[in-house]
Amino acid sequence: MDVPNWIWGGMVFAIAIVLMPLVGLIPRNTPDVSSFGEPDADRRQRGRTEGK
Amino acid sequence: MFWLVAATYALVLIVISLWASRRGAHSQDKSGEYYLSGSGVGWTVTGLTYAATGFSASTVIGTVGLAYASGWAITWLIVGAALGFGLCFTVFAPRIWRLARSIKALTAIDLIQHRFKSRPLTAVSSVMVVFFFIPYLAVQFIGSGILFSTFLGYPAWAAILVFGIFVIAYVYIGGFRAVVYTDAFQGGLLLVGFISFATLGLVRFDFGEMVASFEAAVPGGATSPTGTMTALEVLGLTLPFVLGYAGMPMMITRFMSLGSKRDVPFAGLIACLLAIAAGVFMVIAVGMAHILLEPVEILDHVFPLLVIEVFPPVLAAGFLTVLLAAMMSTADSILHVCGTTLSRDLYQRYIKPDVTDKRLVTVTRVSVAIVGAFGIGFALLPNLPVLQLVVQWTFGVYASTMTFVIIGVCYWRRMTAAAAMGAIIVGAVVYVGSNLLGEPGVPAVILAIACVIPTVLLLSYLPGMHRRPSPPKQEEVLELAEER
Repeated sequence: MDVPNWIWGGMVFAIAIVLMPLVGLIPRNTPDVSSFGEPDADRRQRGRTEGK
Repeated sequence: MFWLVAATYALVLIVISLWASRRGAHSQDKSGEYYLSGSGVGWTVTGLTYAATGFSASTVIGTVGLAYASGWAITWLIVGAALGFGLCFTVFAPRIWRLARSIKALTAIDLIQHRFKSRPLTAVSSVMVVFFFIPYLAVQFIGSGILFSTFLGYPAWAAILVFGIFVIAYVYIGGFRAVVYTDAFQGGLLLVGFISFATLGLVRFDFGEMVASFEAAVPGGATSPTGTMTALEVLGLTLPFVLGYAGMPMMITRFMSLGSKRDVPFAGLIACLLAIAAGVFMVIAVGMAHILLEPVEILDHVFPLLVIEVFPPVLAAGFLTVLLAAMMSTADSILHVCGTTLSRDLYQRYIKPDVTDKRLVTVTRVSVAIVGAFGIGFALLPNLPVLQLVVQWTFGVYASTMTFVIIGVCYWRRMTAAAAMGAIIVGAVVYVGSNLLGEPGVPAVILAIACVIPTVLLLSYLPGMHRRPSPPKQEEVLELAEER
């Protein structure tokens, strides 16, 4: 089949994209972002009471 | 024949939405149920519903038409959408999921309010959501008009009315659960449709033949990676889709309703797979159109004409239904997100904070009906631009405004409310303005992003922009003293 080269390139790229979400399977802790935007003093306080 | 298929399809959707409203009837938390279906959606359903919502009438009808005229390079736009899906699921979904759980958020605006604690910002974001989504909603309705008038010869306005009222009705009845499950069903239908169409095309035609007839009609259409456009133009078309999904509230609520965080990668896999299937489908469909069809004048008619040409009536009716699925799944999500924004983010937050749960759901339903009516009205206006153009605008606006706000919500601790507000205002003004005035050499989206980034940085890092913790109120001081 006479497939233009750039289409092959695009397909390789496409397969890479499909596999991209699987990066999420790597075990790691998602930081809790719910303290974002709070003044630093409050955050430190919360960290002390909620920290594990 | 078509009516039989369409009626069966409508019946399935009605059954799903009735089931959804019955399930919801037992729930204690009425608004949580109507807004996020109790936050327990599985990964297959989430993946399918995400992709089906992200793809609309324009994806199939609009881009096939554009690619027919400008070359296969338009498929980059779908690849861009797939990349956007991938980015959202990898980068934003886990954080949004966790944040939504820990603050019990029901809408995307809840996240913004929690993060920036700024009432003006919340109000502006809510208004923006509703304002920029109504044309996008109308596009879905117009798509149905085009479909019915080219396939069946019915007047477009009648199709728009019937289609519009049907979608409004099932969102009204079933809420988020109806939207998510009907979307998942439609996503499954799209996946089957894309794959079978592409397979059929490859079996019946030689790929080399497609390349040859494409080249004959549009020089460079098949062999050039940018088609008849420049690389910058292709980037300008693609970038809104890469970045736009991250800022769209109806896509964000899909993450929030997911049952478990471990399901995020699998849902993403499904969504990306569907996006790539759409890209392959598009390449084949456009190739076939150049072999089979006489030159087509109105680009939005290319795909419907192709389906009539290729398939026997039964399958053609099936494909018409697949197209309806693409439009309906986007229309219902927009309706739902506009309804929840008007009721929870504007009505409850600013007008009546002590509204009861039951009444809030009623207000949401009424908002859904009102937004739907606006959408239908907009769709019935004469002389609207090509479908794809409106979609391009919607995504462009989101890519240059809300996406930055969401980055602030998930990643950027230092970003201030003023910076978020600046992103929304500067992004929207530059993007819309540059489109209206004609693009000065660079695509509008790149120009807008280039203006937004310095604005956001300035408003976050200029001395004095970071809000100092406010001094404790009198009562709090007293309470503290008592504790001691």
